[in-house]
Formats: sequence, structure tokens, C-alpha cells
Amino acid sequence: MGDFDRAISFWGHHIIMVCVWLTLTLSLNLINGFCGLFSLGHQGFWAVGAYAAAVTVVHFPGGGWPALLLSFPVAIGAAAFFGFLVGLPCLRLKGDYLAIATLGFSEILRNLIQNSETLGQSLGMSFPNIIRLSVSERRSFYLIYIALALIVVFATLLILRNLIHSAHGRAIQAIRDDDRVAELLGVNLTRYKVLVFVTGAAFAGLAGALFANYNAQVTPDDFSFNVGVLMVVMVVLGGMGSFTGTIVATTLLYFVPILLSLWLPQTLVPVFYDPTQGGVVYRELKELWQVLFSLLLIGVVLVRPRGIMGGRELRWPWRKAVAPGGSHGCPRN
Amino acid sequence: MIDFINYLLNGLSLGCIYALIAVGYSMVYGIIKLINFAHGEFYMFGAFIGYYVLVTFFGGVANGPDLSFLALFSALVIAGVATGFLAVFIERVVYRPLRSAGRIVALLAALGVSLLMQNAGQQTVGAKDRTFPHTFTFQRFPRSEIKAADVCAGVPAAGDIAIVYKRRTEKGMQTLVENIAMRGNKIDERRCKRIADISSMPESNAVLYQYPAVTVSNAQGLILIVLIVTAAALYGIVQYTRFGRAMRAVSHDFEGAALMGIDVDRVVAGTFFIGAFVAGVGGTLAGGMYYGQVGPLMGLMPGLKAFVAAVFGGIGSIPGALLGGLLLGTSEKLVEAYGSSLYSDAFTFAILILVLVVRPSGLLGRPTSEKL
Repeated sequence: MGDFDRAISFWGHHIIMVCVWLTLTLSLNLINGFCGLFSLGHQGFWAVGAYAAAVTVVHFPGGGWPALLLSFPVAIGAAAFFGFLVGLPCLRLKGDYLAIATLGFSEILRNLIQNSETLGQSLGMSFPNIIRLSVSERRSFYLIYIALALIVVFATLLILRNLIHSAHGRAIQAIRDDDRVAELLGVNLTRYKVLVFVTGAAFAGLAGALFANYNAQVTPDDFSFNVGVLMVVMVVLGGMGSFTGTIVATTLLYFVPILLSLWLPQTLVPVFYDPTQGGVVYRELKELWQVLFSLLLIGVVLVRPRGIMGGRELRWPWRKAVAPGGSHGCPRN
Repeated sequence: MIDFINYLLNGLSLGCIYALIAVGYSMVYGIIKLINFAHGEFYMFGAFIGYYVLVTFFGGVANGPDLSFLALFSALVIAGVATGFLAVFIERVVYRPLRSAGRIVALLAALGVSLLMQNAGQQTVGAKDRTFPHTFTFQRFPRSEIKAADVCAGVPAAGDIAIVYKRRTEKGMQTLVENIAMRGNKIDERRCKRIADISSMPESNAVLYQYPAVTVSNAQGLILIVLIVTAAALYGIVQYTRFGRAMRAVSHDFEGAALMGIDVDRVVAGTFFIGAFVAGVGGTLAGGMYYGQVGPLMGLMPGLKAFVAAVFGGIGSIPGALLGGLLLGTSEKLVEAYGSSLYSDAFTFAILILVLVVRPSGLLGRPTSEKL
């Protein structure tokens, strides 16, 4: 295996995964950042999309490319449907109550998946990787899939950006800024909140299909509570209501742990005194990256509570500033 | 009917555990409107402190003899106090600087603290669950020995607290697995598989009792007593002390209380201390002594469930948290017994969503009217 091949299977994997995460966080930002509905259950929609794609690939008669192509719309549709199911009863809730309700939904979903025979229970589903099987070389698989993933992310960004800059987008942001005033001005709250939930869930479903078809395996643990927490952290730290902020934060938070685990030296450091483990416990600094990562997270929250970008958009310096898509500052809560 | 009452009693002890954790959630939320997601990790921390106290100072081992009452008591108290101080420290360093930054940011910080404690736990004490030192022998009252004709199985393994026995019922011979700690568990398939390799064990190992009537174990009794003492103490503190009056004032109107000369920071710190104290005691008592295992991730699910209990009872209300915990634990056990043990998590969260949608202020919470 040449250097190029090795590099592309390492970085290619991470580029594809960053694209999956970006699709998730950008769509979560629509719900949390632009509409001010605080959802902690995005991993549930992601799971619906991934499992829907997996079921399509496995059970579609004939399989192969038609199944692969079909798995994307099926995943989007299934996730959007669940977004509708979740969005409707949760409309009455606000702030952290909504966060808890959405968290509850995703946990129910995970519990159901773990007990479903068709979905492989806790072991999950493994299925043939159609693109990998149809190309002879590893590198062409990665190149094709990176292209696909980038297309997905750019499509997501474009659609969400256009939505936010449209009249609908103004209505959505008005709901965040003050829902009563928005309602008085004629914004149909129910319609827009459901719209936001369904759209956000649909893109999470898309991310699910992208993930499932790449990984060729889905397990309930891929969509655990901590994954959802990480998504929310990415959105909030990027700045609620800033696409570029979300992109920066997602990329950073995705790569920081990887770089930490790559670069940290293997020096032994004492971490703990434990008589039951025979005195002082040493760990390699490399193994401590998760601890350092969570410390870093708390640090960033403390230093920049409004996010890295705080609602502003990063723009090309040579372009004239137009009316900003996001409002300045954090939504009130 | 007897079975039903036994399930109910079991559910009540589980509910007591939820209630002990839920109280802290509710108190903190009542004061600073923060969902302290790290509360489940306080429960874990307390369990580990109790573990180390018993192991280091009282020579507790997994299959050792019963420990003295002093050991039991000091493990509980030290665990509570240590957890309380940890909570005060975290409040001071993380939550206080973020108090004006908005609720979502504070929620995020709490999630960060929870993540940190889980990760730090995995790196220090190790990711594997540990067996808690033996503290006292579980006994059920009343009890009587099973007749030889009914019995053809033994105790699974030394140190294991499950009892396996066969019983003649209307449906023929039924194999029953009983966890002494948790009578009323219906057997699920996963456990039944283990019976095959257990039943070949020599009968001399067998310690078998049958429970013809409603039984209570001394462990359940202890948990119930701790809960009652806690509830009474909390009621006393909140209703009859200066600090309690300050707490109620701060909970009612944070800024107003500060203007009236109440040291708000001290009240918040005190609230964190009390909530974490109770969680730490609960961790040692329930996670450690009752379930017999401690691990760095043990706080995750009980923490979430206790939060559900707090919301169920009306978040911000202490009696609500107690009631919510008891009801949630009981209904969960009943679902396991008569429905399916696999779906009890889904059931819990379904209750949560139902409560949130139908009555967001919970059973005992005051409905809040929003200021325009």
C-alpha cells in the first residue's frame, strides 16, 4: 500500500465523517440556533435515517446500486416523518423542557431499536458496502465517497442558507427572537415550528444515510446520548444561528480529539492514588485525551459562553457585507 | 396478589433511590433554574467514596464478613460530605461564572462537567465495574426454607446474590431466578440461559429460601429509613431554619432576595451541597450496597431516570421529587413484572413526555405564569 493510499484511507475516513457531522450540526443549528427550539434529540433522527438506509440496502429486492440510490430518499423521508411525530406534541414546550422531551424521544427510539429483531438489537446491522464492492481499488472508493459527502454538505448548506434568507427564514428567526411578537405579526407558529423540526430531521436522516452507506454497519451505540450532546456542543460553541460558526466549531471539535490522540506523547503521568490498584496509578498522556477534551470543552464554554462566532457569519473579506442571516448575540432564554 | 405486593415493595425501593437523586436535581433547579446534568455523576462519585472508605479503613472485601454499623455509617456520611464539597467546588468554578450567561449555556456546562467526570473516572479508577465490598447480609422477613421436593438448583456462584430454584405452579415446573436484593424480578430470557450451567452445581452450595408471603429485606428497609430521614431533615431545614428561609426566598425571586441582603452565593452553594450530599449517600447505599457494583458510568441512567422523576413530581419541588421518584420506581417495576422488562426505559421516557405535554409543571409543581 503506497503512501497515498495510506493517507487517503486515514484522512479520507475523517473527511467523510466530518461531512456527516457537518450535515448534522448544520441542520441542528436550524432547530436550535435559528428557531430557538432547544433539541437534544438530533441523534434520534440520525439513527432513524441510518437504520432506514440500512434496511433499504438489505431488503430492497436485487440490492446493488438501485438500493443504494433509494436508501437516501428513504432515509430522508423516514427521518422527516419522525421529525413530524416528535415536533407536533413538543410544540407546547420551550427551553429546557423541550430539550428533555426530545432527549426522551431519542432514548425511546434507542430502546426500541435495541429490542428490535429486524434491526439487529444491540449488535446492530451489517450489510454490503455497495460502492466499495463495485470499485476495484480502495482509493477510488474513498475518492468517490468523499465527493459524495462533500456534495451532501454543500447541498445542505445551500438549502439551509437559502431557507434562512427567505421570508420563511425571517419568520423562523422571528420566532426565536420573540415568539409572541412573531405570532402577533402573523407568523403561524405551529406551521413554522413543525416545518423547522421536519426540515432539521430530514437533513439528519440524510446524514444517517451518508453514514450508514459509508460504514456499512450501524449499531445503537453510534447514536447514544453523548453523541447528541457533542452535536449540541458544536452548535452552541459555533454560535447559535451562524452557519460558518457551526462549520468552524464542528471541524475543530471533530479534529481536536484526533489530533490530541495522535500528538500527545506516551509519557506516563501519575493520575490517581488507589490502594486497590497497588498505589499510584500511571496513565499514558495519550490515553488522557478524553479528559483533556472535556476540560477544553468546559474551558471554551467559560471563556466564550456565546460561542466562537456568537451569531456572526464569517465572510470573504472582498465581499461587501449584506444583511446578516443570523441576528447578533445569543437568543434569549 | 402476594406477588403484586412484592413487586410493589421492590418498586418502592427502586423509587427511593430515584427519589434520593431527584431531590438534588429539583433543589438546584428550584434555586438557579439549572438542569444539573452532572448530578448522576455525583451519585457515582459518592458510591466510589463509600467504596474507598470501606476498602481502606474497614478492610471491606467482596466476599468478606459483615461490617460493623460504624463502618456502614461512616461510609455513608463521608461519601455524602465529600460529594457535597465536590459539588460546591464545581458550582464555584464552573456554574457561578456562567450564571448570567443564560440557561442553555449553563446546561451545556453541566453536560461538560458530566462528561469530564465520566472520562476522569474511566482513567483513574478504570472503566470496568468493581464489586462493592460486602457490608451486611441481605435477609428477607419473614422467611422459611424451601422443601427439598421443590428444589433442584443452587446458588449460582460464590458472591453472586441470585438464587435459582424451581417451583411447582399451575403451569407445571417453573424455574425462577431470584435476586435477593430485588425480589419481584420476572425472569427474562437472558437470565434463563445462565440457569443451565448453574443447575449442575452441588446441592451443598445451595442456600434456598422460599417466600410464601409478602417479604421485605433488611436492605430495602435501610433504604426506606434513609429516605424517610432525608425527607424529614430536608423538610426541617427548608421550613424551620434561617438557611431554609433564605433558600425559599432565593427560589421565589433570585434578584429580590439578593436586594434584601441575602447572600445568594452562599445559598446556592449550600443548596448544591445538600443536593450532592443526598446523592452521594444514595450512591453508596443504592449503587454500592444494594446493587453491589460501582463503575464510572453507573450514574448515567439513574441520573436520567431521576431527572424524569423530578420533572414528573414537579421540578423545583422537594416533596414532588420524592413522590415522583417513588411513583416512577414503582411503575417501572410493575411494567417489568407484568409487561416487558426490555421496554422499561422506553416506558420511563414515555411517561416523561406525557407529563411534559399534559402537565409541564408536574404533579406537585406550581404552574408558572409567564410575565409578558
